[in-house]
Amino acid sequence: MAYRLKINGLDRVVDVDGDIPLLWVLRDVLGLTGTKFGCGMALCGACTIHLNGTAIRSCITPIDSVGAAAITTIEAIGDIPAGREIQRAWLDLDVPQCGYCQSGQVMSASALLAGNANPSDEEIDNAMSGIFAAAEPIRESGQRSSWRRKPLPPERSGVEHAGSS
Amino acid sequence: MLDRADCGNDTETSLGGGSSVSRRSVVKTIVALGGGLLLGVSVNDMGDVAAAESTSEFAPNAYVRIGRDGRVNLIVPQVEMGQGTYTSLPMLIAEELEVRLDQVSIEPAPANDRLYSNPLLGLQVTGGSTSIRGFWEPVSKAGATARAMLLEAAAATWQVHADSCRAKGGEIIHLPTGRRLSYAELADKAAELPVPENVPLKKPEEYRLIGTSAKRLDGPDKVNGRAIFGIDVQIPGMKIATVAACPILGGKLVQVNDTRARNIKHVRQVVRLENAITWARQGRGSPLSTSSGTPDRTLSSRAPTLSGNLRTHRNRRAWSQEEGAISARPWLVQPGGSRPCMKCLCSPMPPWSR
Repeated sequence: MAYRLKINGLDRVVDVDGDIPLLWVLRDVLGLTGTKFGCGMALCGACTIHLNGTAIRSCITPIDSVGAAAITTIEAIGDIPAGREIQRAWLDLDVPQCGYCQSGQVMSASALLAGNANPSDEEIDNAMSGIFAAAEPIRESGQRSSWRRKPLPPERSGVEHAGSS
Repeated sequence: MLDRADCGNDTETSLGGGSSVSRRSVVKTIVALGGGLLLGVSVNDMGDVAAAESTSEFAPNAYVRIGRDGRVNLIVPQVEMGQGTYTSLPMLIAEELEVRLDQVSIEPAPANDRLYSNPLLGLQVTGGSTSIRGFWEPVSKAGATARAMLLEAAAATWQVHADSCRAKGGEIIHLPTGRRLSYAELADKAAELPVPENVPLKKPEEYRLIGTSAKRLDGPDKVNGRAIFGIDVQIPGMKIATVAACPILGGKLVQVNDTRARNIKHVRQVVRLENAITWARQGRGSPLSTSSGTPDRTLSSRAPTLSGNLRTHRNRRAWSQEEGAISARPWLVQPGGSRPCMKCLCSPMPPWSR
């Protein structure tokens, strides 16, 4: 069956069965391989994309449930301000190692930042806790503070420097 | 590719644990498709020197190419797994070649043990902390040799002595007059020159990159989805297999009824392994089965389970260009067999997510 999708600002038509997860339509039909398969059960977060700006797990999202919602993938996240901020912060801190989980990390963090320009540590932890990552300690070491668009209070600026040095 | 010239020098390379083996590196120019300067560098145990020097047997461990655009490409067998090889190896070449780190990129070598072996391991293997130990000398040598050839090419162009020229930032500068020629302009000419022997490597006190903390060169592609991982590779005619492994350690495959699986369009083969089943399908796309098309199997285990029953999950996804379906049927596995069980709940998601 044909589905009309709005992906990264473009209209795309795919002809697939309705119960195929969005992840595989993105990767296999449309060739957008930046979104990763990890567990297939919404456990690890590697497949995270935005649906109308909300972070969702594409591996458990059947294509027939997407409708007219706007899909944003890692390939286009740099087009939105929050996505650009996160990419910049990630590179400033040299976050990616292996990098396999990074698409999901960047998408999750971008969704958070788009709706909350200055999230608390707790909000960041909540937002990112759904991502399994071998490089988890990096997040702990200083990513959080560098996300915020506003300057940090003076007493906390040392944390940022420790993380980015 | 044609070998043009070669040079070599002996080095003592210390391996971990204090043992030392004599190795000999050989650098040769190779006619590069599309022009530019292409150097192959080979490291061999002393016993293989004759083989290394024989043109037909010259099997470089790595290549360095300076293109007509001035880009430096390092072609190495090592793979980037998060350990930083795609940054550290470019640092080695950039150091000796006197280019900026952002002028260097890495191309992964194709799979070929004979052509692209790890100098320390003898096979095309990345591991054991051998990337820097194994490639330090040959890659540095290649960089230093290329730099010397570019210097010669510039000196010949200006008809001056090479000693009056310096390499810096991807250019050769004639110090007395300030004239400059970029590597891009010099690469073709340098490729015509004989390969100098025993070009000295920089002394540690002359290092400007080695010993510094460099930003990872693979970082940008890993935050914009462009990085290619194994799962992203597509090869014409590729078929994809899904493995259903026994969920209990030590379990054995007892029997498989693959009739239904084989009836699914595009399923090419059902393979029985000792403790697993795989089924391969043709076509672009993900491994697949339908819930009805998964081979019926019995996996037995003599191993004790942790808490009576060990529950595991398999998400068997299905897709082809013509048809597809998804199945997320978890298993409840007991010693001696398996049967479907309740669906597993997903991890708690933050409120702004779904």
